[in-house]
Amino acid sequence: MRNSKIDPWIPIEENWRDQLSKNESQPDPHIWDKINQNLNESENKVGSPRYLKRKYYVAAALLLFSVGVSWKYFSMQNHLTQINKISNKTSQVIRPKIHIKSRETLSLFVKKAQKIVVKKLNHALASPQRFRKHLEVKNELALEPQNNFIVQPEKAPQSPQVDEFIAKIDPLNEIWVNISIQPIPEKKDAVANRDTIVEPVKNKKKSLGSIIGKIKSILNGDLEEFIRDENQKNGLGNSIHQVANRYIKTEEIIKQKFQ
Amino acid sequence: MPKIIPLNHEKLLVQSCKKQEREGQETVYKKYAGKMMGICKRYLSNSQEAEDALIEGFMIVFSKIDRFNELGSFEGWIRRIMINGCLMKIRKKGNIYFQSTEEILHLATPDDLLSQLNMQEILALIDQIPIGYRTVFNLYAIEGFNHQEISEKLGISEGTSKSQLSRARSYIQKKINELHT
Repeated sequence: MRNSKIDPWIPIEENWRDQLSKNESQPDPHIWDKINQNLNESENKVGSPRYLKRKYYVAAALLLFSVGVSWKYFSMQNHLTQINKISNKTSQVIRPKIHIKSRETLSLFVKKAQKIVVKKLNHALASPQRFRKHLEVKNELALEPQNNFIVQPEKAPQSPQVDEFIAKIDPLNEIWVNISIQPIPEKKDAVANRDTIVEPVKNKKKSLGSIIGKIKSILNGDLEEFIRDENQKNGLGNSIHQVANRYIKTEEIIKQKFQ
Repeated sequence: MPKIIPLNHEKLLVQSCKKQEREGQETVYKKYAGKMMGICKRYLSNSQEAEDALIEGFMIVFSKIDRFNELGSFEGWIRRIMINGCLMKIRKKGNIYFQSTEEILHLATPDDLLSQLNMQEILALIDQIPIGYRTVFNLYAIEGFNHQEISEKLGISEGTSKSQLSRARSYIQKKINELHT
């Protein structure tokens, strides 16, 4: 409370305050229009259902993306763990001969490409298109015929299933290849140095040869043989898994060499 | 058909504004725009700046209406928003300077003539005070804030606020004396 006895200005200022409390100065009439316009704009920006919808869509998309990335990451981790397990068990050294089968765009990729990485090997083996491996081409290593593998573009085999499958793939992003695996025995010194060889190289050659023969016939469109063979105990599927394990081991060795 | 809200029914007006109804907002604007423009002009002098402060102030009123707890006066709440907006504009403009002196001038007893001034004369007199003194004078003498509140609002010491007030009063006294002579 202000004391007017101490401060003689207080009654004067109270008088002024009373007078000025009634003071009004009418603003221009267009000011309400401006405020109205600003209110409309801010409502459209923040409160509109469209804005909210867009916000939620973006949030949902981000959530899905992050879930997808993490799923992919963990599945890759699992896959690598499996490969490592398989590789550790595999003692046989098989050097693959790789043939790429794809459409015309492949030649462009091959020119640009510097490295081939085989992906989803087990997954590919479990599907009817199991003889086509999805390769990802990376710019790391020159794609010249190497000591251990040969990359050769070829035409895809004629088959309605294959055509239908290939039609779904974006030619600019994906290359589908057929990999036929042929065992190449290591040099005697190298074999002698290995302490975990399971079976003689000749036997491996024989079994692999028969598998490759079957693969070739299926790639040529004869899927009946595959289906028939799948029902047998020592069927093609099992054999391929064995070969795949060996192939993975080889792939790892190749990778290590390139690294 | 637009809803008509009686101007004197403050609660209804506030509720309408809380629902972001344009009719209610317009009624509030029409009811308080004149008074608030008067306040803005008293702080800012420049009409264009005062109009800008008025627009920004009402935008804050309508967007932050949920913060009004309806216990105090609605007009008082709007008034505080307008004053804070004006102070912000003054600070942004950067032409306000408070002498850091805490020296309080010893003033003679105010002239009786000061209590006989009418509203227009008071406004004209306040408008002539330099902006630093004027701001403190407006806050203390017209709005009724104490020096502690003023020091918080303006970011100055209480001593500076007191000093600025005494200078404003001295300035007013001087102007009145000039009119006498």
